[in-house]
Amino acid sequence: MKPFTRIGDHGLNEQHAQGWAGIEFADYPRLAIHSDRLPGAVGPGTTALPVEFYATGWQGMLDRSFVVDVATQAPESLDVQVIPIRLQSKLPKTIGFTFPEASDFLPPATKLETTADKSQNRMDNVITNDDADQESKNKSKRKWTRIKPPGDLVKLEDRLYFVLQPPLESLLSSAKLEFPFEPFPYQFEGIAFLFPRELAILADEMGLGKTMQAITTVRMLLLAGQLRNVLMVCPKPLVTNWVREFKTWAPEIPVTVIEGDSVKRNWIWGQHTAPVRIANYELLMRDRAILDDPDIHFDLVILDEAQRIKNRNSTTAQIVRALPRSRSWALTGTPIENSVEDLINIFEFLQPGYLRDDMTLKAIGQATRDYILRRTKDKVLTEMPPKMFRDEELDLTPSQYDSYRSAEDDGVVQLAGMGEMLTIQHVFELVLRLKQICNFDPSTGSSCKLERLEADMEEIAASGHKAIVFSQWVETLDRIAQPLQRFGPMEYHGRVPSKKRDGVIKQFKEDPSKHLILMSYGAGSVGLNLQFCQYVFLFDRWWNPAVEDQAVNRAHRIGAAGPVTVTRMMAANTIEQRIHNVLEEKRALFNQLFADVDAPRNAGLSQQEIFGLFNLTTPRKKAA
Amino acid sequence: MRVHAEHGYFGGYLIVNQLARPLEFHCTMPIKPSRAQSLLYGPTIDDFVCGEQIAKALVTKAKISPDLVITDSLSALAVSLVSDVLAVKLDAELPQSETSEKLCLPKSTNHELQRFRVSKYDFVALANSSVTETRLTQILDQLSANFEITEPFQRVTEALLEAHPIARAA
Repeated sequence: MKPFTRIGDHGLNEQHAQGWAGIEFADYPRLAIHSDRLPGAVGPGTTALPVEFYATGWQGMLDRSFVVDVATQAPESLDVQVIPIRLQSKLPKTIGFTFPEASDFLPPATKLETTADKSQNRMDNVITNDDADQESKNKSKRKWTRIKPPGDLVKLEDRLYFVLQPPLESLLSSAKLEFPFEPFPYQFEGIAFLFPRELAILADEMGLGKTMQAITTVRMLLLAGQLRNVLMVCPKPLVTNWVREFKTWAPEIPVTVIEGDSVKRNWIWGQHTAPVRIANYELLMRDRAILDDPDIHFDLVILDEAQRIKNRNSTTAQIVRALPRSRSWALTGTPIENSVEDLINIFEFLQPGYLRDDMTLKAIGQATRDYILRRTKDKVLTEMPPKMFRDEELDLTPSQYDSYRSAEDDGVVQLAGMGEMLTIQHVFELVLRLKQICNFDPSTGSSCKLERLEADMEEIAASGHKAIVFSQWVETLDRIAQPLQRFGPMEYHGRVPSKKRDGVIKQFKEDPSKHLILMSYGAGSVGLNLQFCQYVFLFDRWWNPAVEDQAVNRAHRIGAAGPVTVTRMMAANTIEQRIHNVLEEKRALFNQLFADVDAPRNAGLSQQEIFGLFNLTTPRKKAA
Repeated sequence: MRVHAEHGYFGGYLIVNQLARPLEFHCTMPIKPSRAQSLLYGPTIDDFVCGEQIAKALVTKAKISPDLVITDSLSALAVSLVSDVLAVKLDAELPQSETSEKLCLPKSTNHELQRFRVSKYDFVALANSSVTETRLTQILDQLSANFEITEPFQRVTEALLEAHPIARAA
């Protein structure tokens, strides 16, 4: 309570004093007191209050000055209540786990408590003791690539295991894994993608180094003890390429090629301790019986050019799907060549039944997001030399034109007359015949394309560059080779034995007099590194732009010497131009519809479209 | 240490070797101070919860005793008041992998601090802690050349968000 001050008039009775102090002027209407000071501030004996008197004639005492007494009263004391508040004393709950490597740091008594869970050997051996002081401590900051847990990993402990690993760059450097050159950041991301996954599709565009990413991840997993035997399956022509790449990127890993007679192959299949074995698709078909052996099991099966199993019912696809394995990876630059079904069938190898034919494109995109990594050069290699396309619409030579017109007119009449007997094979035959005429006139051998190629090669050879010419026919390549002998043409196609192919590539690369290599789409469109070539000629066009892209990317890939010029040769006003127009329309349509999905943009021609090339309608099938 | 506007405080504790390889990891469940604690500790509540509660719980739980505890939060330094660990706060801009309006670093009252610069890193410690520059230098000299001290904090943050996905959704 606040002390209060009482002001009283000495000589006045208590009632008067209260009247003054309480300022109850109603009782004393003739006395007015004005003060701008607080009553408590007035001290005894002071007359600071201005007082105005109105004479009434009877109170002389009013002339006396005031005496002010000040008294202070102490407030009454209160009883203080004490309320106890219990503060939380328990520490928060924690969750956690110990990594296998911690055993070296634990005191002996607790070492026994460390659980040997399934992750025990995951990364133990990746890192050896560090003497990485060779690296400068002042190393500039760079972006770290983290290993992220795959979406299908559910257990928190397993997920945290990957989340808490150091960045890939740090792991690789302290593991003393050497590389012929520093991988690109996107390649680190590819390795970080593959490393924790049991099911994965690496679908990078051709030339981005899928091979290197797969080999480096295998290398890390082998060193970590997570893998012991890996089966690599690739097309036969690429076996030597994979062996070479393993030597480059993982020289310490022994690689065994499955080849030779059946006795030898049988023996190699039985070598369960071989860390990496390479087989080709064709061989799997021959060794199907051996693969039924219940003792055969692979920790990892990698399919290179996995589009080879896009046909679900093919024998190859069936054999590959039956391979006993723990992990399944597929490498392909074209996961969708013709339709989404291609991707569904590749997934049949990864996880049978995961994708269904009746799923929408959007649903497939969502379901596969965590399993597929797809990058394109445009997005990741911004500094890569450009790729320039030249569509050369060439007029047929007069003799070619005559032959062409005659063949097409007769052919269309013939097809139209077939009625319900007409099949797509008949149309194909006509298309192929016309395309061959567009290459060379069958009677005179003249060729508008060869004339242009010859002229271009003069310039290319004069400037010391090298070129690749693709055709779908070996006969065409032979006919090109003869008049272009002065450019030292090399040949790489189905008729060149596999054992000689590496020598061909080596000579073409190293011999300065060799300015030209003639390749068939089948043999030369995949797995070759010809980045020293700056010119690519597509002498005739393949049905599917994806195959053409594969071919072009032999030259336009990492390490490309400079801009790559791609010349797509087309005979004007012929079947070639019509095919080109249809494919371009489809590409534009898909780009518009599926810009994000990156799906059927590589689609080839449908049966209906092939019939449409000659204004033929698809014959109706008779009802059964 | 992180504080979430709705779920409260939580912290992670990663023990690594000289190669930055993980040895042990612990994290706490989110906790909220009581009303009484908030009133009593006032502006020092973050120091109490993060340092004396969460950090102490994490340090106590771990089987391995680290040579040095490096934190990204000043409030966690209070752990050195209630345990024997050497604790310093890395005075650097850390790569925050995920933060939001609701998820942030706890605040701290201004303690009396001592500052150190070892190698290329700046550290602060409580003025009355037993951290010395010599000791700090000795410990950090054992680290691998490519050990970036800021890097493991990103791992801890990711792990916290993995363990408490509700915080990621904030």
